[in-house]
Amino acid sequence: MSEITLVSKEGTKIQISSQFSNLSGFIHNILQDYQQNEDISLASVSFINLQMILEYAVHHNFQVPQPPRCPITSPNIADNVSDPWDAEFVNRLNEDQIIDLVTATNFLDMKSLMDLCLAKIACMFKYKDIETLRKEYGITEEFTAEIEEKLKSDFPWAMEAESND
Amino acid sequence: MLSTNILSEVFEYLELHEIITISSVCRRYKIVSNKPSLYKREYIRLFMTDPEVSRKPSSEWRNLCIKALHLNFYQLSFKCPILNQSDIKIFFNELTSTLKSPDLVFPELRRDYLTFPTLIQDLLGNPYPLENNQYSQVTKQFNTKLNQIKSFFKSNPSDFLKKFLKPLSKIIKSKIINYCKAIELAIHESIFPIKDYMKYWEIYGFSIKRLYTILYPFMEYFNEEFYQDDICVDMFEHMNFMRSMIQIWIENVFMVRREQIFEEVDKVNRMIIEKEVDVMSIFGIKTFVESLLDLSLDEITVHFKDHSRLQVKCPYREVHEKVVNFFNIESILGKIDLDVLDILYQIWPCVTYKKIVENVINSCGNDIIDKNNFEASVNTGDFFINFRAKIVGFSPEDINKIGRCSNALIIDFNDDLRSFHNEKCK
Repeated sequence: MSEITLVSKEGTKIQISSQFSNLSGFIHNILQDYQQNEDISLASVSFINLQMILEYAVHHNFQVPQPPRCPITSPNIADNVSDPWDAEFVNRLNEDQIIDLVTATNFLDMKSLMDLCLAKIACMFKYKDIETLRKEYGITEEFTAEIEEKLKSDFPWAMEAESND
Repeated sequence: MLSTNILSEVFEYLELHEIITISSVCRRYKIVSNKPSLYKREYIRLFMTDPEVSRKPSSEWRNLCIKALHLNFYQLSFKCPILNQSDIKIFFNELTSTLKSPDLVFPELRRDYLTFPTLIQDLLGNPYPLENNQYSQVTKQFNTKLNQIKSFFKSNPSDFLKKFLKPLSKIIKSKIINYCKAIELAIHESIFPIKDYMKYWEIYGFSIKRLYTILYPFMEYFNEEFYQDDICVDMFEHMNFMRSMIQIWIENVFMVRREQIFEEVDKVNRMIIEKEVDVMSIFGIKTFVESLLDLSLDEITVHFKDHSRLQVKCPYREVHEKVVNFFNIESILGKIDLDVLDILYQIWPCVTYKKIVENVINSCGNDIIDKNNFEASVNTGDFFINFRAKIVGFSPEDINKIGRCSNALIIDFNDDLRSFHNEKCK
Protein backbone atom coordinates (compact mmCIF):
# COMPACT_ATOMS: atom_id res chain seq x y z
CA MET A 1 0.00 0.00 0.00
CA SER A 2 1.56 3.30 -1.05
CA GLU A 3 -1.07 5.95 -0.49
CA ILE A 4 -3.89 6.52 1.92
CA THR A 5 -6.76 9.01 1.85
CA LEU A 6 -7.33 11.29 4.80
CA VAL A 7 -10.55 13.26 5.17
CA SER A 8 -10.57 16.50 7.15
CA LYS A 9 -13.48 17.52 9.36
CA GLU A 10 -14.77 19.72 6.50
CA GLY A 11 -14.87 16.64 4.27
CA THR A 12 -11.88 17.56 2.11
CA LYS A 13 -9.84 14.56 0.98
CA ILE A 14 -6.06 14.49 0.86
CA GLN A 15 -3.92 11.65 -0.41
CA ILE A 16 -0.64 10.92 1.33
CA SER A 17 1.98 8.23 1.60
CA SER A 18 1.15 5.48 4.05
CA GLN A 19 4.55 6.19 5.57
CA PHE A 20 2.70 8.91 7.45
CA SER A 21 1.98 6.15 9.95
CA ASN A 22 5.62 6.51 11.08
CA LEU A 23 4.68 9.88 12.54
CA SER A 24 1.11 9.27 13.66
CA GLY A 25 0.13 6.62 16.19
CA PHE A 26 -3.53 7.08 15.20
CA ILE A 27 -2.86 6.33 11.51
CA HIS A 28 -0.53 3.48 12.44
CA ASN A 29 -3.33 1.80 14.38
CA ILE A 30 -5.89 2.42 11.64
CA LEU A 31 -3.61 0.80 9.06
CA GLN A 32 -3.60 -2.46 10.97
CA ASP A 33 -7.13 -3.19 9.63
CA TYR A 34 -7.13 -0.93 6.60
CA GLN A 35 -8.98 -1.87 3.43
CA GLN A 36 -7.49 -0.39 0.25
CA ASN A 37 -9.22 2.75 -1.06
CA GLU A 38 -10.93 3.24 2.28
CA ASP A 39 -11.13 6.86 3.47
CA ILE A 40 -9.72 7.69 6.89
CA SER A 41 -11.93 10.26 8.54
CA LEU A 42 -10.22 12.78 10.85
CA ALA A 43 -13.23 14.38 12.52
CA SER A 44 -11.15 16.62 14.79
CA VAL A 45 -8.65 17.90 12.23
CA SER A 46 -9.41 20.91 10.06
CA PHE A 47 -8.25 21.08 6.46
CA ILE A 48 -5.82 23.91 7.28
CA ASN A 49 -4.25 21.93 10.09
CA LEU A 50 -4.12 18.80 7.98
CA GLN A 51 -2.24 20.70 5.28
CA MET A 52 0.25 21.97 7.83
CA ILE A 53 0.68 18.51 9.31
CA LEU A 54 1.34 17.01 5.90
CA GLU A 55 3.79 19.79 5.05
CA TYR A 56 5.69 18.92 8.23
CA ALA A 57 5.55 15.19 7.46
CA VAL A 58 6.78 15.62 3.89
CA HIS A 59 9.63 17.89 5.00
CA HIS A 60 10.82 15.25 7.42
CA ASN A 61 10.40 12.53 4.81
CA PHE A 62 7.92 10.77 7.09
CA GLN A 63 10.66 10.05 9.60
CA VAL A 64 10.53 11.11 13.26
CA PRO A 65 12.89 14.10 13.64
CA GLN A 66 14.99 14.92 16.69
CA PRO A 67 12.79 16.26 19.48
CA PRO A 68 13.21 19.84 20.74
CA ARG A 69 15.37 20.44 23.80
CA CYS A 70 13.60 19.67 27.05
CA PRO A 71 13.73 21.87 29.02
CA ILE A 72 14.22 24.61 26.48
CA THR A 73 17.27 26.78 26.99
CA SER A 74 16.27 29.94 25.16
CA PRO A 75 13.08 31.88 24.36
CA ASN A 76 13.98 31.55 20.70
CA ILE A 77 12.61 28.28 19.33
CA ALA A 78 15.41 28.16 16.74
CA ASP A 79 17.90 27.60 19.56
CA ASN A 80 15.95 24.60 20.80
CA VAL A 81 15.50 22.57 17.63
CA SER A 82 18.06 20.86 15.43
CA ASP A 83 16.36 21.64 12.12
CA PRO A 84 15.97 25.40 11.40
CA TRP A 85 12.99 24.56 9.15
CA ASP A 86 11.07 23.45 12.27
CA ALA A 87 11.61 26.86 13.86
CA GLU A 88 10.48 28.69 10.72
CA PHE A 89 7.46 26.40 10.51
CA VAL A 90 6.12 27.17 14.00
CA ASN A 91 7.18 30.83 13.89
CA ARG A 92 4.73 31.32 11.02
CA LEU A 93 1.84 30.49 13.32
CA ASN A 94 0.12 32.70 15.83
CA GLU A 95 -0.79 31.46 19.31
CA ASP A 96 -4.33 30.37 18.37
CA GLN A 97 -3.07 28.45 15.35
CA ILE A 98 -0.48 26.68 17.46
CA ILE A 99 -3.10 25.68 20.02
CA ASP A 100 -5.32 24.34 17.19
CA LEU A 101 -2.38 22.42 15.80
CA VAL A 102 -1.62 20.93 19.23
CA THR A 103 -5.21 19.70 19.43
CA ALA A 104 -4.96 18.18 15.96
CA THR A 105 -1.63 16.49 16.65
CA ASN A 106 -3.01 15.20 19.92
CA PHE A 107 -5.90 13.59 18.00
CA LEU A 108 -3.47 12.07 15.50
CA ASP A 109 -1.11 10.94 18.29
CA MET A 110 1.67 12.76 16.45
CA LYS A 111 4.18 13.30 19.21
CA SER A 112 6.98 14.91 17.23
CA LEU A 113 4.93 17.82 15.90
CA MET A 114 3.05 18.19 19.17
CA ASP A 115 6.37 18.48 21.04
CA LEU A 116 7.52 21.15 18.60
CA CYS A 117 4.34 23.18 19.22
CA LEU A 118 4.56 22.75 23.02
CA ALA A 119 8.18 23.86 22.97
CA LYS A 120 7.17 26.92 20.94
CA ILE A 121 4.50 27.82 23.52
CA ALA A 122 7.00 27.22 26.33
CA CYS A 123 9.31 29.76 24.61
CA MET A 124 6.58 32.36 25.15
CA PHE A 125 6.87 31.77 28.93
CA LYS A 126 10.66 31.71 29.06
CA TYR A 127 12.47 34.45 31.02
CA LYS A 128 9.28 36.26 31.94
CA ASP A 129 8.41 37.49 35.41
CA ILE A 130 5.03 37.14 37.08
CA GLU A 131 3.75 40.59 36.16
CA THR A 132 4.70 40.25 32.50
CA LEU A 133 2.98 36.91 32.27
CA ARG A 134 -0.17 38.26 33.94
CA LYS A 135 -0.20 41.19 31.53
CA GLU A 136 0.40 39.12 28.39
CA TYR A 137 -2.23 36.52 29.24
CA GLY A 138 -4.77 39.01 30.62
CA ILE A 139 -4.73 37.44 34.05
CA THR A 140 -6.32 39.71 36.61
CA GLU A 141 -5.05 39.75 40.16
CA GLU A 142 -6.30 36.70 41.99
CA PHE A 143 -4.13 36.64 45.06
CA THR A 144 -4.69 38.81 48.09
CA ALA A 145 -2.01 41.30 49.06
CA GLU A 146 -1.06 39.00 51.90
CA ILE A 147 -0.56 36.01 49.60
CA GLU A 148 1.29 38.23 47.16
CA GLU A 149 3.70 39.28 49.90
CA LYS A 150 4.21 35.68 50.90
CA LEU A 151 4.96 34.75 47.30
CA LYS A 152 7.54 37.48 47.18
CA SER A 153 9.30 36.19 50.24
CA ASP A 154 8.91 32.50 49.31
CA PHE A 155 10.02 32.85 45.73
CA PRO A 156 12.19 35.98 45.58
CA TRP A 157 13.63 35.03 42.20
CA ALA A 158 10.15 34.87 40.67
CA MET A 159 9.47 38.57 41.10
CA GLU A 160 12.14 39.71 38.70
CA ALA A 161 12.72 38.75 35.09
CA GLU A 162 15.47 36.25 34.54
CA SER A 163 18.64 37.61 33.04
CA ASN A 164 19.87 35.78 30.00
CA ASP A 165 23.29 34.86 31.34
CA MET B 1 -6.75 30.25 26.07
CA LEU B 2 -4.55 27.26 26.71
CA SER B 3 -6.39 24.26 28.07
CA THR B 4 -5.22 22.81 31.37
CA ASN B 5 -3.86 19.71 29.64
CA ILE B 6 -1.85 21.64 27.07
CA LEU B 7 -0.56 24.01 29.74
CA SER B 8 0.58 21.05 31.79
CA GLU B 9 2.46 19.66 28.77
CA VAL B 10 3.99 23.07 28.06
CA PHE B 11 5.38 23.29 31.59
CA GLU B 12 7.36 20.14 30.88
CA TYR B 13 9.57 22.31 28.64
CA LEU B 14 10.39 24.86 31.31
CA GLU B 15 13.13 24.88 33.88
CA LEU B 16 12.55 24.51 37.57
CA HIS B 17 12.74 28.17 38.55
CA GLU B 18 10.42 29.06 35.67
CA ILE B 19 7.85 26.47 36.74
CA ILE B 20 7.96 27.90 40.27
CA THR B 21 7.64 31.43 38.90
CA ILE B 22 4.67 30.47 36.74
CA SER B 23 2.99 28.73 39.66
CA SER B 24 2.80 32.16 41.30
CA VAL B 25 1.01 33.87 38.40
CA CYS B 26 -2.48 32.68 39.25
CA ARG B 27 -4.39 29.88 40.93
CA ARG B 28 -4.92 27.98 37.67
CA TYR B 29 -1.22 27.98 36.82
CA LYS B 30 -0.45 26.96 40.38
CA ILE B 31 -2.71 23.92 40.15
CA VAL B 32 -1.49 22.95 36.68
CA SER B 33 2.18 23.29 37.62
CA ASN B 34 1.74 21.20 40.74
CA LYS B 35 2.77 17.96 39.09
CA PRO B 36 5.11 15.92 41.33
CA SER B 37 6.58 14.16 38.28
CA LEU B 38 7.65 17.54 36.90
CA TYR B 39 9.47 18.47 40.10
CA LYS B 40 11.04 15.06 40.48
CA ARG B 41 12.31 15.17 36.90
CA GLU B 42 13.74 18.65 37.40
CA TYR B 43 15.37 17.85 40.75
CA ILE B 44 17.01 14.76 39.28
CA ARG B 45 18.06 16.61 36.14
CA LEU B 46 19.69 19.37 38.14
CA PHE B 47 21.08 17.64 41.19
CA MET B 48 21.03 13.85 41.03
CA THR B 49 21.83 10.80 38.98
CA ASP B 50 18.77 9.08 37.54
CA PRO B 51 17.28 6.55 39.92
CA GLU B 52 16.05 3.15 38.81
CA VAL B 53 12.47 2.77 37.69
CA SER B 54 10.31 4.30 40.36
CA ARG B 55 6.77 4.46 41.58
CA LYS B 56 4.47 7.48 41.55
CA PRO B 57 6.43 10.51 42.75
CA SER B 58 5.56 12.24 45.98
CA SER B 59 4.50 15.86 46.25
CA GLU B 60 7.53 16.29 48.53
CA TRP B 61 9.67 16.78 45.40
CA ARG B 62 8.22 20.25 45.03
CA ASN B 63 9.39 21.23 48.51
CA LEU B 64 12.84 19.86 47.81
CA CYS B 65 12.97 21.83 44.57
CA ILE B 66 11.89 25.03 46.29
CA LYS B 67 14.44 24.52 49.04
CA ALA B 68 17.15 23.88 46.43
CA LEU B 69 16.21 27.06 44.57
CA HIS B 70 16.27 29.01 47.83
CA LEU B 71 19.75 27.73 48.56
CA ASN B 72 20.89 28.65 45.05
CA PHE B 73 19.44 32.10 45.55
CA TYR B 74 21.04 32.62 48.96
CA GLN B 75 24.42 31.26 47.92
CA LEU B 76 24.65 34.15 45.51
CA SER B 77 24.12 36.54 48.38
CA PHE B 78 27.09 35.01 50.21
CA LYS B 79 29.66 37.77 50.47
CA CYS B 80 33.37 37.53 51.05
CA PRO B 81 35.90 40.30 50.38
CA ILE B 82 38.23 38.09 48.34
CA LEU B 83 35.66 36.01 46.52
CA ASN B 84 33.58 37.63 43.81
CA GLN B 85 30.21 36.38 42.54
CA SER B 86 31.87 34.37 39.84
CA ASP B 87 34.18 32.56 42.32
CA ILE B 88 31.23 31.71 44.52
CA LYS B 89 29.22 30.47 41.57
CA ILE B 90 32.10 28.25 40.41
CA PHE B 91 32.57 26.86 43.89
CA PHE B 92 28.91 25.95 44.39
CA ASN B 93 28.62 24.58 40.85
CA GLU B 94 31.49 22.27 41.72
CA LEU B 95 29.68 21.19 44.87
CA THR B 96 26.46 20.49 42.94
CA SER B 97 28.14 18.70 40.05
CA THR B 98 30.20 16.57 42.45
CA LEU B 99 27.08 15.35 44.24
CA LYS B 100 25.35 14.80 40.93
CA SER B 101 28.14 12.86 39.31
CA PRO B 102 31.47 12.77 41.11
CA ASP B 103 34.69 11.89 39.36
CA LEU B 104 35.52 8.39 40.41
CA VAL B 105 38.67 7.98 42.42
CA PHE B 106 39.23 4.27 41.82
CA PRO B 107 43.00 4.50 41.32
CA GLU B 108 43.20 5.80 44.86
CA LEU B 109 41.25 2.94 46.32
CA ARG B 110 42.67 -0.30 47.59
CA ARG B 111 39.51 -2.29 47.97
CA ASP B 112 40.18 -5.88 48.84
CA TYR B 113 37.11 -7.89 49.64
CA LEU B 114 39.00 -10.69 51.33
CA THR B 115 40.08 -8.48 54.20
CA PHE B 116 36.67 -6.86 54.31
CA PRO B 117 37.51 -3.21 53.85
CA THR B 118 34.87 -0.65 53.06
CA LEU B 119 34.65 2.32 50.77
CA ILE B 120 35.10 4.79 53.57
CA GLN B 121 37.86 2.68 55.01
CA ASP B 122 39.67 3.03 51.72
CA LEU B 123 39.15 6.75 51.85
CA LEU B 124 40.42 6.79 55.41
CA GLY B 125 43.45 4.93 54.17
CA ASN B 126 44.07 7.98 51.99
CA PRO B 127 43.01 10.73 54.36
CA TYR B 128 44.88 13.42 52.49
CA PRO B 129 43.59 15.18 49.44
CA LEU B 130 44.00 13.72 46.01
CA GLU B 131 47.33 13.78 44.20
CA ASN B 132 48.22 17.06 42.57
CA ASN B 133 47.38 15.83 39.10
CA GLN B 134 43.91 14.87 40.31
CA TYR B 135 43.12 18.28 41.73
CA SER B 136 40.39 20.02 39.90
CA GLN B 137 41.02 23.54 38.68
CA VAL B 138 38.50 24.68 41.28
CA THR B 139 40.49 23.14 44.14
CA LYS B 140 43.71 24.74 42.96
CA GLN B 141 41.93 28.06 42.58
CA PHE B 142 40.45 27.80 46.08
CA ASN B 143 43.75 26.89 47.65
CA THR B 144 45.13 30.17 46.33
CA LYS B 145 42.02 32.10 47.34
CA LEU B 146 42.13 30.70 50.86
CA ASN B 147 45.60 32.10 51.38
CA GLN B 148 44.32 35.51 50.32
CA ILE B 149 41.28 35.17 52.61
CA LYS B 150 43.50 34.17 55.54
CA SER B 151 45.70 37.21 54.98
CA PHE B 152 42.65 39.43 54.78
CA PHE B 153 41.33 38.22 58.15
CA LYS B 154 44.75 37.96 59.75
CA SER B 155 44.19 40.84 62.14
CA ASN B 156 40.77 39.59 63.21
CA PRO B 157 40.54 35.78 63.01
CA SER B 158 37.13 35.63 64.66
CA ASP B 159 35.73 37.43 61.63
CA PHE B 160 37.12 34.65 59.48
CA LEU B 161 34.88 32.29 61.39
CA LYS B 162 31.83 34.46 61.77
CA LYS B 163 31.79 36.15 58.40
CA PHE B 164 33.28 33.50 56.19
CA LEU B 165 33.52 29.94 57.44
CA LYS B 166 30.26 29.73 59.37
CA PRO B 167 27.96 31.03 56.61
CA LEU B 168 29.85 29.02 54.00
CA SER B 169 29.53 25.83 56.07
CA LYS B 170 25.85 26.50 56.62
CA ILE B 171 25.08 26.74 52.91
CA ILE B 172 27.20 23.69 52.08
CA LYS B 173 25.54 21.65 54.84
CA SER B 174 22.05 22.74 53.80
CA LYS B 175 22.73 21.76 50.21
CA ILE B 176 24.00 18.32 51.20
CA ILE B 177 21.04 17.77 53.54
CA ASN B 178 18.62 18.70 50.77
CA TYR B 179 20.41 16.30 48.44
CA CYS B 180 20.26 13.47 51.01
CA LYS B 181 16.54 14.06 51.54
CA ALA B 182 16.03 13.73 47.80
CA ILE B 183 17.99 10.47 47.83
CA GLU B 184 15.83 9.19 50.66
CA LEU B 185 12.72 10.05 48.64
CA ALA B 186 14.11 8.41 45.49
CA ILE B 187 14.85 5.25 47.48
CA HIS B 188 11.40 5.33 49.04
CA GLU B 189 9.78 5.50 45.60
CA SER B 190 12.09 3.01 43.97
CA ILE B 191 10.98 -0.43 42.88
CA PHE B 192 14.51 -1.61 43.73
CA PRO B 193 15.17 0.38 46.91
CA ILE B 194 18.32 -1.38 48.06
CA LYS B 195 19.83 -1.26 44.59
CA ASP B 196 19.22 2.47 44.53
CA TYR B 197 20.46 2.85 48.09
CA MET B 198 23.72 1.19 47.07
CA LYS B 199 24.04 3.24 43.92
CA TYR B 200 23.57 6.50 45.73
CA TRP B 201 25.85 5.48 48.57
CA GLU B 202 28.64 4.76 46.07
CA ILE B 203 28.12 8.17 44.47
CA TYR B 204 28.00 9.80 47.88
CA GLY B 205 31.15 7.99 48.97
CA PHE B 206 33.08 9.34 46.02
CA SER B 207 31.58 12.78 46.56
CA ILE B 208 32.88 12.69 50.12
CA LYS B 209 36.40 12.20 48.85
CA ARG B 210 36.04 14.87 46.20
CA LEU B 211 34.47 17.46 48.47
CA TYR B 212 36.90 16.58 51.22
CA THR B 213 39.66 17.52 48.79
CA ILE B 214 38.05 20.79 47.82
CA LEU B 215 37.36 21.76 51.43
CA TYR B 216 40.55 20.37 52.89
CA PRO B 217 42.31 23.75 53.03
CA PHE B 218 39.46 25.19 55.12
CA MET B 219 39.36 22.22 57.48
CA GLU B 220 43.11 22.18 57.87
CA TYR B 221 43.27 25.88 58.58
CA PHE B 222 40.37 25.74 61.02
CA ASN B 223 41.68 22.74 62.94
CA GLU B 224 45.23 24.00 63.17
CA GLU B 225 44.57 27.63 63.95
CA PHE B 226 41.22 27.89 65.60
CA TYR B 227 40.10 24.72 67.25
CA GLN B 228 42.02 25.25 70.46
CA ASP B 229 40.99 28.83 70.52
CA ASP B 230 38.24 29.81 72.95
CA ILE B 231 36.42 31.88 70.40
CA CYS B 232 35.30 28.93 68.37
CA VAL B 233 34.59 26.28 70.96
CA ASP B 234 30.95 27.29 71.14
CA MET B 235 30.61 27.64 67.42
CA PHE B 236 32.10 24.52 65.91
CA GLU B 237 33.12 21.05 66.72
CA HIS B 238 36.47 19.83 65.47
CA MET B 239 35.96 20.07 61.75
CA ASN B 240 35.99 16.84 59.79
CA PHE B 241 34.09 17.12 56.59
CA MET B 242 34.10 13.36 55.95
CA ARG B 243 32.51 12.69 59.32
CA SER B 244 29.96 15.49 58.82
CA MET B 245 28.88 14.12 55.45
CA ILE B 246 28.48 10.62 56.84
CA GLN B 247 26.46 11.99 59.75
CA ILE B 248 24.18 13.83 57.32
CA TRP B 249 23.65 10.57 55.42
CA ILE B 250 22.88 8.68 58.62
CA GLU B 251 20.32 11.23 59.77
CA ASN B 252 18.62 11.87 56.45
CA VAL B 253 18.88 8.58 54.58
CA PHE B 254 19.82 5.66 56.81
CA MET B 255 17.65 6.52 59.83
CA VAL B 256 14.63 7.33 57.70
CA ARG B 257 15.00 4.16 55.61
CA ARG B 258 16.24 1.93 58.41
CA GLU B 259 13.14 -0.28 58.60
CA GLN B 260 13.44 -0.95 54.89
CA ILE B 261 17.14 -1.68 55.33
CA PHE B 262 16.45 -4.05 58.23
CA GLU B 263 13.84 -5.84 56.14
CA GLU B 264 16.46 -6.29 53.47
CA VAL B 265 18.91 -7.61 56.06
CA ASP B 266 16.29 -10.16 57.19
CA LYS B 267 15.71 -11.12 53.59
CA VAL B 268 19.43 -11.67 53.10
CA ASN B 269 19.59 -13.86 56.21
CA ARG B 270 16.65 -15.93 55.06
CA MET B 271 18.41 -16.46 51.74
CA ILE B 272 21.52 -17.60 53.60
CA ILE B 273 19.58 -20.08 55.69
CA GLU B 274 17.91 -21.46 52.58
CA LYS B 275 21.31 -21.46 50.82
CA GLU B 276 19.88 -19.42 47.98
CA VAL B 277 22.96 -17.28 47.52
CA ASP B 278 25.53 -17.71 44.78
CA VAL B 279 28.92 -16.08 44.40
CA MET B 280 27.52 -13.01 42.65
CA SER B 281 24.81 -12.43 45.19
CA ILE B 282 27.33 -12.86 48.01
CA PHE B 283 29.40 -10.14 46.36
CA GLY B 284 26.36 -7.85 46.13
CA ILE B 285 25.23 -8.52 49.69
CA LYS B 286 28.73 -7.98 50.98
CA THR B 287 28.87 -4.60 49.30
CA PHE B 288 25.58 -3.76 50.94
CA VAL B 289 26.92 -4.84 54.34
CA GLU B 290 30.02 -2.75 53.70
CA SER B 291 27.89 0.28 53.05
CA LEU B 292 26.33 -0.21 56.49
CA LEU B 293 29.77 -0.54 58.06
CA ASP B 294 30.85 2.60 56.26
CA LEU B 295 28.38 4.54 58.33
CA SER B 296 30.06 3.59 61.60
CA LEU B 297 33.15 5.66 61.22
CA ASP B 298 34.69 5.03 64.65
CA GLU B 299 34.13 1.36 64.33
CA ILE B 300 35.81 1.34 60.94
CA THR B 301 38.90 2.95 62.35
CA VAL B 302 39.24 0.01 64.68
CA HIS B 303 38.11 -2.33 61.97
CA PHE B 304 40.92 -1.05 59.77
CA LYS B 305 43.57 -2.06 62.27
CA ASP B 306 42.22 -5.44 63.22
CA HIS B 307 38.83 -6.37 61.99
CA SER B 308 38.48 -9.46 64.15
CA ARG B 309 38.44 -7.33 67.29
CA LEU B 310 36.39 -4.44 66.10
CA GLN B 311 33.98 -2.75 68.41
CA VAL B 312 30.60 -2.33 66.85
CA LYS B 313 29.09 1.10 67.09
CA CYS B 314 25.97 2.71 65.73
CA PRO B 315 24.46 2.55 63.27
CA TYR B 316 26.07 -0.79 62.42
CA ARG B 317 25.43 -1.96 65.98
CA GLU B 318 21.68 -1.99 65.30
CA VAL B 319 22.21 -4.07 62.18
CA HIS B 320 24.53 -6.38 64.12
CA GLU B 321 21.90 -6.94 66.80
CA LYS B 322 19.21 -7.64 64.24
CA VAL B 323 21.38 -10.22 62.53
CA VAL B 324 22.45 -11.88 65.78
CA ASN B 325 18.83 -12.06 66.93
CA PHE B 326 17.75 -13.52 63.64
CA PHE B 327 20.16 -16.42 63.97
CA ASN B 328 19.27 -16.90 67.61
CA ILE B 329 15.75 -18.10 66.95
CA GLU B 330 15.10 -21.73 67.83
CA SER B 331 13.69 -22.62 64.40
CA ILE B 332 16.77 -21.25 62.66
CA LEU B 333 19.33 -22.99 64.87
CA GLY B 334 18.81 -26.42 63.40
CA LYS B 335 19.43 -25.12 59.90
CA ILE B 336 22.89 -23.74 60.62
CA ASP B 337 25.44 -26.12 59.19
CA LEU B 338 28.93 -25.69 57.78
CA ASP B 339 27.68 -24.34 54.45
CA VAL B 340 25.54 -21.73 56.17
CA LEU B 341 28.51 -20.78 58.35
CA ASP B 342 30.65 -20.42 55.24
CA ILE B 343 28.19 -17.99 53.72
CA LEU B 344 27.79 -16.11 56.99
CA TYR B 345 31.53 -15.79 57.28
CA GLN B 346 31.80 -14.40 53.77
CA ILE B 347 29.06 -11.87 54.23
CA TRP B 348 29.08 -10.60 57.79
CA PRO B 349 32.07 -9.07 59.54
CA CYS B 350 33.84 -11.20 62.12
CA VAL B 351 32.30 -9.45 65.07
CA THR B 352 28.80 -10.38 63.94
CA TYR B 353 29.83 -13.82 62.76
CA LYS B 354 31.46 -14.62 66.10
CA LYS B 355 28.41 -13.56 68.04
CA ILE B 356 26.12 -15.72 65.92
CA VAL B 357 28.36 -18.74 66.45
CA GLU B 358 28.65 -18.06 70.16
CA ASN B 359 24.86 -17.90 70.50
CA VAL B 360 24.41 -21.06 68.50
CA ILE B 361 26.79 -22.87 70.80
CA ASN B 362 25.14 -21.51 73.93
CA SER B 363 21.63 -22.27 72.73
CA CYS B 364 22.54 -25.82 71.79
CA GLY B 365 24.03 -26.40 75.20
CA ASN B 366 27.11 -27.44 73.33
CA ASP B 367 29.90 -28.70 75.48
CA ILE B 368 32.74 -28.56 73.02
CA ILE B 369 33.82 -25.18 74.24
CA ASP B 370 35.23 -24.80 77.67
CA LYS B 371 33.47 -21.69 78.90
CA ASN B 372 36.43 -20.66 81.05
CA ASN B 373 38.68 -20.57 78.06
CA PHE B 374 36.12 -19.11 75.76
CA GLU B 375 37.43 -15.54 75.78
CA ALA B 376 40.91 -16.68 74.97
CA SER B 377 39.85 -19.04 72.27
CA VAL B 378 37.68 -16.45 70.57
CA ASN B 379 40.71 -14.32 70.05
CA THR B 380 42.95 -17.08 68.78
CA GLY B 381 40.48 -18.62 66.42
CA ASP B 382 40.47 -22.08 68.09
CA PHE B 383 36.89 -21.54 68.87
CA PHE B 384 35.92 -21.61 65.22
CA ILE B 385 38.02 -24.64 64.53
CA ASN B 386 36.39 -26.65 67.30
CA PHE B 387 32.94 -25.50 66.50
CA ARG B 388 33.18 -26.15 62.81
CA ALA B 389 34.69 -29.55 63.41
CA LYS B 390 31.86 -30.49 65.73
CA ILE B 391 29.23 -29.42 63.24
CA VAL B 392 30.79 -31.43 60.48
CA GLY B 393 31.10 -34.43 62.79
CA PHE B 394 34.85 -34.49 63.40
CA SER B 395 36.46 -35.47 66.64
CA PRO B 396 39.24 -33.39 68.23
CA GLU B 397 41.62 -36.13 67.06
CA ASP B 398 40.53 -35.55 63.48
CA ILE B 399 41.20 -31.90 63.92
CA ASN B 400 44.72 -32.52 65.05
CA LYS B 401 45.34 -34.29 61.78
CA ILE B 402 45.00 -31.01 59.99
CA GLY B 403 48.53 -29.78 60.03
CA ARG B 404 48.01 -26.03 60.10
CA CYS B 405 44.91 -25.73 62.22
CA SER B 406 46.49 -24.06 65.17
CA ASN B 407 46.98 -20.33 64.69
CA ALA B 408 45.68 -20.63 61.15
CA LEU B 409 43.56 -17.85 59.79
CA ILE B 410 39.94 -18.83 59.69
CA ILE B 411 39.81 -18.56 55.96
CA ASP B 412 42.80 -20.92 55.60
CA PHE B 413 41.35 -23.27 58.15
CA ASN B 414 38.11 -23.36 56.24
CA ASP B 415 39.92 -24.54 53.12
CA ASP B 416 41.88 -27.11 55.07
CA LEU B 417 38.80 -28.45 56.78
CA ARG B 418 37.03 -28.84 53.47
CA SER B 419 39.96 -30.67 51.88
CA PHE B 420 40.19 -32.90 54.93
CA HIS B 421 36.48 -33.59 54.76
CA ASN B 422 36.71 -34.48 51.07
CA GLU B 423 39.64 -36.79 51.74
CA LYS B 424 37.75 -38.50 54.52
CA CYS B 425 34.68 -39.02 52.37
CA LYS B 426 36.57 -40.72 49.55
